[in-house]
Amino acid sequence: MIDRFANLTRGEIARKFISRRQKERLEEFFGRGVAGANNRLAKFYVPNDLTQTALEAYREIARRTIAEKLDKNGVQALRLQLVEKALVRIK
Amino acid sequence: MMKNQKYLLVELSEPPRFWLADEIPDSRFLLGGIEYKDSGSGDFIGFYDYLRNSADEILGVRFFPFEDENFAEQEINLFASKDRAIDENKSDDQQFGDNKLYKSRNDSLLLTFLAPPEKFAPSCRIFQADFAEMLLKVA
Repeated sequence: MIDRFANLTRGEIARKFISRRQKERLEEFFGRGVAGANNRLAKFYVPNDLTQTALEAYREIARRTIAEKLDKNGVQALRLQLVEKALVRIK
Repeated sequence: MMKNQKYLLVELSEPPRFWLADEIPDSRFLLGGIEYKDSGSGDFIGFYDYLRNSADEILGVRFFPFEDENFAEQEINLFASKDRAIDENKSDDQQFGDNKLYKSRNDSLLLTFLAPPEKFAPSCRIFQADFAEMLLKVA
């Protein structure tokens, strides 16, 4: 399977695959920081119009952020759990 | 940009200068006597945390730029106060969006962020940006 994110930077992935509306849906989904992510894991739901493409793009950005050791407080790791759970639900 | 929401603008000088604005002109504007132009990188160029003290007051913002922007550092701490006593557990937003980079002709850099809902600490120095004054006069 072709990895559509392979040759793109994080900024290019954000620009190409996450629209303004999808950014807002992702913010609603994640909440703020660790507390927001834990709250969503406890009371899980996926915003209606959050798309598979936006979730997969965010997952790639989060994975690279973690790989670069920039996830200081573990927020991106928690968001990855949320994204994986959401993708199972909407696929 | 979104309505009914304030924006924080931070000039990357030493020390950084902070402004709050109700609205930001689209692609070019004047601020602090400097003309800035949108870098064209979009409004999701990294993640940011608001730096809070133990009383939930804002002291500054921490920016984690994506590699695209070619910053020398992967983490940029911008304080609006000499007080640096942040509470890390309250400074973990990892917010994104409404985050643009503007550049001036002499390479001054300015970042925009969605303003935090909390108040800044009294020790912070924050300017108010007036939209009408930011508009460029076209001859």
